[in-house]
Amino acid sequence: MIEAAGLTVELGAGQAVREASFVIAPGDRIGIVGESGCGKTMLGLALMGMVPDAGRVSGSLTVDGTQMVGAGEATWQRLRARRVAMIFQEPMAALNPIKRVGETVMEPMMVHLGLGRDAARARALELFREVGIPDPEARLRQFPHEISGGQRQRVLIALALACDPGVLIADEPTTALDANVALRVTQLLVGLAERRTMGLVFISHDLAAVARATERVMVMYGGDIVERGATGEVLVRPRHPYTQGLLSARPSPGNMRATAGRRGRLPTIPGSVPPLAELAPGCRFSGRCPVELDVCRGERPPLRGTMICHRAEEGA
Amino acid sequence: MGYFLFRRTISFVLTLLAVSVVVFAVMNILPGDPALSILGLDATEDALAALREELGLNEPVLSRYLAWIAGAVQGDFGISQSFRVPVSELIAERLPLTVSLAISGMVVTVILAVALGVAAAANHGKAGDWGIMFLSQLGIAVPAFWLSILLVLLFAVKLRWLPPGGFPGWSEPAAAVRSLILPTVALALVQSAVLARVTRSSALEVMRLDYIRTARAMGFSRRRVLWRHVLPNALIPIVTIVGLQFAALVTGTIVIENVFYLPGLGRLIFQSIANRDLPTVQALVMLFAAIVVTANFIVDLLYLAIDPRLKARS
Ligand code: SF4
Repeated sequence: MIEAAGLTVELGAGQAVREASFVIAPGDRIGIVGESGCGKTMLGLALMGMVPDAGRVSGSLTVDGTQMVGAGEATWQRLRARRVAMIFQEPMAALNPIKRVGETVMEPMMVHLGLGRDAARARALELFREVGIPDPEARLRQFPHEISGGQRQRVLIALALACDPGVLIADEPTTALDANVALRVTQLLVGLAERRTMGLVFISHDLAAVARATERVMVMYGGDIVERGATGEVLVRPRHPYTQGLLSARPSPGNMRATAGRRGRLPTIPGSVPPLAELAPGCRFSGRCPVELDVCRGERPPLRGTMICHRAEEGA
Repeated sequence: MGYFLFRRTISFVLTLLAVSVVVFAVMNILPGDPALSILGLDATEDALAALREELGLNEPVLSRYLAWIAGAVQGDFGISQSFRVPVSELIAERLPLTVSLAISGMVVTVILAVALGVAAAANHGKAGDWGIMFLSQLGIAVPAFWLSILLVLLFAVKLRWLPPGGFPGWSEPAAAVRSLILPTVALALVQSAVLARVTRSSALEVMRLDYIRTARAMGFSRRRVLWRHVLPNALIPIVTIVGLQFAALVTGTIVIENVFYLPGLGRLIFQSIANRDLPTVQALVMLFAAIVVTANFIVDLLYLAIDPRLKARS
């Protein structure tokens, strides 16, 4: 159970995450979408206590009731893997190249759970079966360079599950994979979250994958969670101008399912995400927003219903 | 893998052969009469002729080379001209000292360098890092013989903790070890300064990689991440430099043994050159070269042990 309230990550002169509030309960599947550079990954890292050394975290973040803002590295180390685990975008690079993948998956069980080699090995084997790795006995003894990208991502998922975490954060877990492999990995993550009643945070710019993987979604822009709600609702009837822009590049929200499985192309919104320090103090989207008002640049829009936008009261 | 080993072994043997040709050529074919250089300019013609006969210089070069190689393979390097005993005996007496010195120097170098290099990388950009880098810069700038003299002045002359030089022989193990401490430190300090820098930059490079972030995300302690994940992956460039440094250490013993009056191979080669003792010099040069080539061969094998990806490629 993760609860964030006003969670803010400052990086240098800018805010990579601004006052994010949300709850991730056991079994929740939550998507975080947005262009790259909008703060998705930084939010994920903040949930792991892994923001870069230069970053400053404020607000409130509790994991299973423990306040983690201001917690030291040692406290975070006890949480990682056991309460919250994270997998990253590049399965090619995310595995130690000189360790057999079995050893890699066994290590956290031996270190954190105090299992002996044999017990850890048996559990690694079970995990490999659970994540759908064929011929798991043989795989255990292989090195990362000897297996395919999709298999590597499955190994990483098995690794993340090794200490049975309550929440799994998946940062662009399918972006580096072929379409078919990506689809199966997405389905695997959904299945795992359901079977284990594990929270799943699915960070992606691939809207089709998010639509498939999650029940709720948070749309991020410039460090703000600009819109949130049930995934079907937000992605089919986007209300925030940014979400609408994000989706307009796609054929039409209605036939999302028809295009499912194809790679999510990067949506095109005029302009690009400005550097953190140059974001407007008010609405982060002002400057690129097609329906901008005079107040938008200077004044931060309040949270109204499911989104933050000055046009919210008009029922935009 | 098998193919790689086969190829490396062949090239190992070929390199040794090439080295033997060069060593032999330099000593025997290049202008200059060995007999003359041994006896000096005012030797009589009769004496020179007799010595040429004794040295086998009147035979064709090729058969002399083959005879030398045939002997060398069996450990027979001929008779030393200055000591009047078989060269192999001279070597056998002195080899243990030089090998102990080189190996202990290497061990101290690696331990010191890896500890300092990893500590510097772990404290990247902080005071500890700057301090270690400053010391290593100092270590690199200082010549080994000068450092040796400083060490002797401080620990032997002033503090009287350790002997200033000489070697009591292996029959007194404690004293023997004590007399090797300063030479070992003198050898190791300079080398470890270089290796610490290599270790640091290699570790820093690995620390930026994704799989280190994975290890951190698994909740491993900083120490565990550093020693179990960063260091093993940072070893490849370290091992390369260690291989080169072993060569430098072995040749470094020549200087160090002379500074500390240690009766090892380094001192022997010094004396033999001074005495124009051709067979001994030739054998020693060959031996030093063989040690260096062997060290590089071992380094290649270590690569295989460290990085499974190389096995796949080779
Ligand atoms: S607050 Fe203004 S600028 Fe921001 S999204 Fe709404 S209308 Fe556009």
